[in-house]
Amino acid sequence: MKIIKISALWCPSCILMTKVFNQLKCKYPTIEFVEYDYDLDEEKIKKYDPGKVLPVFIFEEGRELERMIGEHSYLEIETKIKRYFNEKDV
Amino acid sequence: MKKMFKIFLLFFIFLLPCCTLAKGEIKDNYKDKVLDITQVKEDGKIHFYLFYSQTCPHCHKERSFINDQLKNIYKDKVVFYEYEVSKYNRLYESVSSYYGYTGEGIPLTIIGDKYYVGFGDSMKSILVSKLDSYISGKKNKTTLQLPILGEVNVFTLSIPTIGVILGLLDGFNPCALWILLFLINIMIGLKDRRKVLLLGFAFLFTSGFVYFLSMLGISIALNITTVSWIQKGIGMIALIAGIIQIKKWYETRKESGCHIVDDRKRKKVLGRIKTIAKEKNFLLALIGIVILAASVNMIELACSLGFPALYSEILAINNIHGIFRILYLFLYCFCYMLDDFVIFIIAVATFSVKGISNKYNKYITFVSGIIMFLIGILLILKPEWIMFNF
Repeated sequence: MKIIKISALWCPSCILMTKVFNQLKCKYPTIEFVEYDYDLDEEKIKKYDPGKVLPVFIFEEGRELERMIGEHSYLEIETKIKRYFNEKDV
Repeated sequence: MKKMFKIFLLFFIFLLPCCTLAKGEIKDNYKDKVLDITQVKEDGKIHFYLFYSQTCPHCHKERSFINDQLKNIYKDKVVFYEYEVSKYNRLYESVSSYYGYTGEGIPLTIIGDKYYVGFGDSMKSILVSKLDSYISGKKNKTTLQLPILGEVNVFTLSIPTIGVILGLLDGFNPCALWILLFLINIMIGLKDRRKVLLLGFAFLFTSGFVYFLSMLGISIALNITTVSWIQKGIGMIALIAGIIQIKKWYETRKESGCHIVDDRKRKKVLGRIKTIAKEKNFLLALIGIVILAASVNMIELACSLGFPALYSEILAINNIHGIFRILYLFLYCFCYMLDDFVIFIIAVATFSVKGISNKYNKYITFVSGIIMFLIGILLILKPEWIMFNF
């Protein structure tokens, strides 16, 4: 169970979303949160095909469940977490 | 921050009188003649002065316009004087100096307290409207009572206000912002506040200076103020740039993230910033950052050419010349760089970069597009509406 965030140093939306991502990381320690940089982790992100808009949040559990693109509120991402991960897991 | 605001306000206030074009000293031997010229009305008639050259095609056009049309319309109300500049060069210089005009453009037309350089279609309606306003005795008296400044003509506020608005909107252009964020993020990793400050300010000052020089270049290129096809050409560029901005806003209005910058350009800039950050020799790092700032700003100027070209054209058609034009361009560039300085100062103070929601960027894209589109239309169809200084 993990959430992958792909962002970039030059992207204002990504910088804004880092705060939300870190808050979720603290609240849900059992979920694996992985961060990739679009420029610095070029090889690692190839398999995710991040597209043309950043940041990208990918919900994975063996396979990709869903992806969220762009800016989202804490609540929006938390709603997805609750939908995809069982209460006991989170 | 308060201090910065005060400096900015003082500078803004200082620029206000520039709109009215400060009047210089008159050379002694021409004093009486120049004072005659500056008297709009004598013997109940309006005095109209033209300095022209036999070899200048725009002068020929203006003289034909005066002889074929103005003299017929205003035969009993206006007295027309024409001076060939090669014969009356010292008078031309004295009059130019009195009106604060530092260029050497002709035809130079003077009606009362106003002077006009160049001649084209739009100038015809300006001259007619000026003569009409003097004949009817009505002058622009639209004034505002402002604190500190007292009574201010709204028209004198227009040009610096436009400079501030366009400069701020241009500053939020994502073309310029992404490089700064890239740089700050990499530099902050150095954890050396002094180095980050020096390199960051070197980057920002160089960026501002290169932008200023580029605008000055555009401004000089547009110096033939009233050649109508140049005006219409700039109007057309602004119109197209405005449509592109509005289209961009429409296509991305539902997206909330950042569009990925061109791969090749991004990798090149990233590579150069990393090299600078790793450089142990501070002087080499400083040279590197100055070169980087100069080169990226030259390239990025093309991305936001609309506003600099528009503002330069607005200065040109409002007869803002010499030192005043430089000050207005400086005001524009100051506002253009303001957001970058604020982002940088906050980043250095907190050692973290604050993100800005992309929705604000979208509003700015939309508003910029609308403004460019409207000024473009005005430049093509009604240039006299943005001639505040007449």
